[in-house]
Amino acid sequence: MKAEDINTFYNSTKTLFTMMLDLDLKRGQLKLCDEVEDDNYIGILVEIDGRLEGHLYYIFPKEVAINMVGHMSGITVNELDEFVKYILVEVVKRITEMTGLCLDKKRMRCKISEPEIIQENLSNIFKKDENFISIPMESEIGNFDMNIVLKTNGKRLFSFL
Amino acid sequence: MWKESYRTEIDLIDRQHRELFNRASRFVRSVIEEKDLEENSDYIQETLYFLEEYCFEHFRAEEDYQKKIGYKDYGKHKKEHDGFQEDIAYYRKKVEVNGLEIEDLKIIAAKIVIWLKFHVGYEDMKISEHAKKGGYIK
Repeated sequence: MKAEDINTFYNSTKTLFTMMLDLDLKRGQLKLCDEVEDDNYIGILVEIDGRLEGHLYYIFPKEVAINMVGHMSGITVNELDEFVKYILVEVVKRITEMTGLCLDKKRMRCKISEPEIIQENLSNIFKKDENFISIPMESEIGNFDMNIVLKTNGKRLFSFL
Repeated sequence: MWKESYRTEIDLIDRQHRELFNRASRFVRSVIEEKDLEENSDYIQETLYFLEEYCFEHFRAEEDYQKKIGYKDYGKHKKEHDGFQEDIAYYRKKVEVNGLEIEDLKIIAAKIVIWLKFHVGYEDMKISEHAKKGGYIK
């Protein structure tokens, strides 16, 4: 497969952003990548283990992260502080909880780790020789990337590209 | 923070939600946007007290309504209420003992934003759907 497994993560992301941020996310052109942007970005990583194995990695330009949290809380936010980081982590946590429930229903039970903020050496998350799928997420207040590496039964899920 | 799409169409619950969002928004604004916390010290502490008390009152009203309509996820929903109330109480006591520390206030402000948006925007909508299906609201 299984485009549908990766789409499960995409759909949960879209649903949560619509519900919590009132933002309509559109999917940009998928890319197969081997490096990530490092400067002026904030990353949030979750590990996936079980019927699917791999990791999911959201990368937000810092300005977009600040704008999103300001938009969601209805106030002016000026810096990428603990307030912004906490909210981003909690949004990703709820995305992965929703994804986990959807995967359970498909009998694809997975253990998904707590989201972790990565602010330095973002490119070290992916091994040098490891390709990943990058899904650009576009919104009216800025764009970010959802990067994903998934394997099932030892095979990477790239067949939907 | 409040959106019309958060309306459950259950009058009492909607009124209480609006009040919660209103007070929570002002609290978050005073923590994140205001430069002088000490100047707002009384307001911040009073609001934390208010939120603790008002959440207690609102959660009991919402839980009573769930029991009345036979809402199947009552237990799970109550657990979320209890967890949030414990968080608010924990930080309210911490502020009382340690005074205003900006990092604590930012975390509780973030918890309030995320919890209200997700709980009211998602979990409480399920109560509304259940009530509509059962003919309790039209």
